[in-house]
Amino acid sequence: MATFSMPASLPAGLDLGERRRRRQALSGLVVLAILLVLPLGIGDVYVRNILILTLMYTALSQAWNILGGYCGQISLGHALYFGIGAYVSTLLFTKFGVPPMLGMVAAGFVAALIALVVSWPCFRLSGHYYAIATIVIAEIVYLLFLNWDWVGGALGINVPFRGESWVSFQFRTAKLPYYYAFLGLAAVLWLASYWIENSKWGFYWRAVKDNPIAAQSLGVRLFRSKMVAAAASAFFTGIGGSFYAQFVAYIDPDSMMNAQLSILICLPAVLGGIGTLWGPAVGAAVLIPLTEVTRSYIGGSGSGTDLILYGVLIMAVATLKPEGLTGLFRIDGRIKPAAAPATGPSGSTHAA
Amino acid sequence: MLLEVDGVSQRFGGVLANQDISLTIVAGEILGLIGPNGAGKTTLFNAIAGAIKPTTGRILFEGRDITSLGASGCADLGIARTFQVVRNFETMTVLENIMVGAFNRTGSTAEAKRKALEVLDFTGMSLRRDTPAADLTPPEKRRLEVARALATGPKLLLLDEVMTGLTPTEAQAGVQLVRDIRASGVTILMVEHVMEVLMPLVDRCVVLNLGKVLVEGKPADIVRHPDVVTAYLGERYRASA
Repeated sequence: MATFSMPASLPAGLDLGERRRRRQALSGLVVLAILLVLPLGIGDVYVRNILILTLMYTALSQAWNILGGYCGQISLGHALYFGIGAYVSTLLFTKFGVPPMLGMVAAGFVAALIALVVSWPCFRLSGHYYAIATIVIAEIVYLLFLNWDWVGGALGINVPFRGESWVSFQFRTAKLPYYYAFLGLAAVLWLASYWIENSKWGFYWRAVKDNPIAAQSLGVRLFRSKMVAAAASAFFTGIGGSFYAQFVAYIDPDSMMNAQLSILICLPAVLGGIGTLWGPAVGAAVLIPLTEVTRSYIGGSGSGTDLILYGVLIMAVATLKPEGLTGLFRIDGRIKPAAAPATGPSGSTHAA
Repeated sequence: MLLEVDGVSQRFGGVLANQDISLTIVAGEILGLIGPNGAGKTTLFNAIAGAIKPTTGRILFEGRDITSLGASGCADLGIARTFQVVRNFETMTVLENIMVGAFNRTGSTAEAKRKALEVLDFTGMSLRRDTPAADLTPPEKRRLEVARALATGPKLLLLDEVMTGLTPTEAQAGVQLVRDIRASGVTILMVEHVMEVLMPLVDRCVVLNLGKVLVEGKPADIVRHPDVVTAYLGERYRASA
């Protein structure tokens, strides 16, 4: 019998992609419902702070995942876009009186524009060379800001308090509004990723990541696709930066643009599952509380135990589950286990 | 005239892989491109697909100069290709692989999926719809490449050694698919090593040797042509042939 005798009948029901998307939508609603009521039961400021940071890194890592995960261009300099976002909205606020709610949109666009300028030469490099270039450029901008007096130099800028409101995005003591703001940002990025996965851009980015030459032969413009991914990724990272600036009310190059921040932005996605919808959220939910708790309980000793634990965790995931923690639950169902090859049609479909 | 190759030469350093090659492809035909190893078949194939730019000469598609258009530009105009060494999107399912091709003609996911399912059915891969490309058997992988190329809605399909490594039964199924594709109105250029598979299938044949066109003609004439026999089997066998 020939391998391809007849176009036999389709497997009944929804295809794999449709089933996956249903599961994802359902799990998204459940998680959102839990996160909406979660802080109401937790009064502790310290715990709420950890929740806020977790949501922030979920959002940032989802933004990183657009370029690094779906499109496969590993950036290790995303602190640049985060810092630019923080500086743009803060400078607009302190120097020109633009309310941060508007300023953050400008921050997103400036970050996207910078990403396009930076990526123009960088996308002529590929693989490790691209990653190295992003580190170097982020470091250069960090040094520029450190020595630039108009933006506060090494001393940074205090964000002046102008009364509690959503327009100025400032709240004196309450953590709750910030919690919901970051939850909103993470949810928007989740929805954006959910949409991307089923859009032309999502298909093109995954094709570029899997096999650029084949993608090109099907009409995909590699350079243009990567540029769009970089701009979208930087746009959301920039908005995340201005959110954070409002949250901590003080920015300086060391807290907004340092190299460790770049690592923290990409780690949740890598740990949770690179290029998957839930990877960044799962990675952040494990990584950020662990970082914060180990830092406050054993980090004070100065022995660096928290960092050792951190390193061990990353090594464990990298060796045991290289596709990320979502591989444990197979939430996405994107990667099928090789052990379960699709079998032929069941006997009944042979009737024709 | 669908495609016209006009005096194309390709130089890689000191090697002249193609030397002043001219040929034409007529709409609706299946043209075979054969030749021994190192004859310059794949180089010429890549130039037509836009993957490399010839050192000199021009290539016209429907009267339009496509010499320096690039691979993605050629795909937009209606030239689709497969690869000698299979290049699929390994982490994506069969359906998703084909959808990438279908997106060349539409921005709508629903429309791309409709087109992809049509191609999936046409190529007889429906049962593999949800299988990741990495898990396919080698002949299925080749078939997926053809399906993906067809989804871009090509006028000209370039097949690079798609029959290589197939069992006789699998090759027979492949031959049938190529006939079906031509019947659907797509012109085909096939590069092939396996002469027995190619000869009954093609309308016309171009033989390359050492970077130049050796002969061109009907399959029946080609196999008896003394220069072809020499090129393939060597001078020693010519006397006995």
